[in-house]
Amino acid sequence: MPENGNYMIAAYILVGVILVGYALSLYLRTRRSLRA
Amino acid sequence: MRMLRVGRWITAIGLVLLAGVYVRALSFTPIEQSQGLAQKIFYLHVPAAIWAEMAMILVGLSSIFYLFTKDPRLDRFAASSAEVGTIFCAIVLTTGPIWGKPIWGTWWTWDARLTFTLFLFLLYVGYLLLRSAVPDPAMRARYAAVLGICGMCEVPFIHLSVYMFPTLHPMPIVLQPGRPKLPGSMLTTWLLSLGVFTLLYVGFVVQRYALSYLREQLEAVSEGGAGGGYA
Amino acid sequence: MRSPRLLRHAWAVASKDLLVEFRSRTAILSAAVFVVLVLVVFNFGRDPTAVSNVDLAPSILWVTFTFAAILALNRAFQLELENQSLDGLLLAPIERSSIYLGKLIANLVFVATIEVIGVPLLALFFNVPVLPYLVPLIALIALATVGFVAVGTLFSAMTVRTRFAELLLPVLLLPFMIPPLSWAVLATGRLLAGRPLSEIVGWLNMLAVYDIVFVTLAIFLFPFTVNE
Repeated sequence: MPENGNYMIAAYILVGVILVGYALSLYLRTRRSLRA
Repeated sequence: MRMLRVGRWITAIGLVLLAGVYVRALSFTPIEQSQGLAQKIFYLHVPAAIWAEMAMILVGLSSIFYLFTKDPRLDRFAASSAEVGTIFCAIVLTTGPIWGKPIWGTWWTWDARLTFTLFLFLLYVGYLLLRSAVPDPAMRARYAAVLGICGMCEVPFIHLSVYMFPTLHPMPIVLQPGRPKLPGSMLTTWLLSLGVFTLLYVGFVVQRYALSYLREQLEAVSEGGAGGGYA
Repeated sequence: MRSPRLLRHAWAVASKDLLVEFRSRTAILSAAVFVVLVLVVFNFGRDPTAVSNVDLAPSILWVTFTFAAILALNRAFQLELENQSLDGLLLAPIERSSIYLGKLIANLVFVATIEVIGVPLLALFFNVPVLPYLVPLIALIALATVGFVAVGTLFSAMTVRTRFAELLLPVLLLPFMIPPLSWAVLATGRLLAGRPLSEIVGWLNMLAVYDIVFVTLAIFLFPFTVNE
């Protein structure tokens, strides 16, 4: 079996960052619009 | 704002469940023999791809209804679905090469699905750019709807053209992951992931919709203020 | 029957545009110069032992044609906007579809002119046999051109009123050009390599379907781009 666990880790981290990052972006943008 | 709270809750639950899927996929799902650990990228890549495409179809459908009814809620939904679809598309475009490199030996191949996703991404980017380039809300909604409908109609043709690419380019050499027949445990993980991505789509779209609504309220209050962004 | 009047009006819109275009001649000249430039560059850039002319020909052809198309499209509504004559056009007692068809025809004539220049030049400079395949080649070029010019004409009506109009149009158009373009390039390659016509017919059919779908769609959607 090929040794490619690093790719898996990279992908999982990347997807996590994107999704959490986007969630955060939405949270911050809506909060800014609520305050205004 | 109630819609926003609902959206935030759905998203939060989605993210928690995502963590659960991560744990299940990484530790409790068997490793595929020929591809090794990298195959597990599949559990994120495919559900994201499904929703990236679904989101575009929904943009197209709501655009059609918008042109008939001129209901601004449909336009807000279209804008939201487009933004969320772009994010999911980006996920597919990044995880694809990361999966491809160990399996196929190269970062990029003009593989049908990856190429399709690239073109889908271009459609999304065009849509968002058009929205940001039109300051007047009514005109923006109309133009976006026109583009959205064209985009949705384009999708089957892109499907058609990318499935011809393999005849022109050589097939990847290192490993040929065919359609994996998913044994039970893997199938369950995949389904759970699909469910989580669905939840996240909904949560994101609801929040983004709320954002559009809030921004419109603000623009209405500051009449004739510098209107930027694509609401 | 409303069709004859529709077409007559369309032709009126088209001939106005074409008259303006051929009087000033700048766009035609730029496109023609570009064709020659591409041919020259490709000629110097290739290694004759590695790549045959016939392999390169489709790409060269379609690069120049798409550039010509984008050039035409950028100008399609620009003139109206500059002179604020779009309002006049809209007030005229003609159907919106006539305006779209007129613009489409004008753009097609423009691109066709470039294509009529480009193909013989390619055949000449690159020694590519074109005459034996002339009829299917013309059909192929015509169908593919209609494909992206139809969508492009619709989009140019929108982008002309945005900031960065000239940048936005190619960006919006790109995903819509790829299917007809990829089919055209593939089919041109096969055709010039002497493959039997039966292989090409499939692509011609797909291009025809694409054209019908998007011209119809554009005619239906165009009024929404100019309604105030």
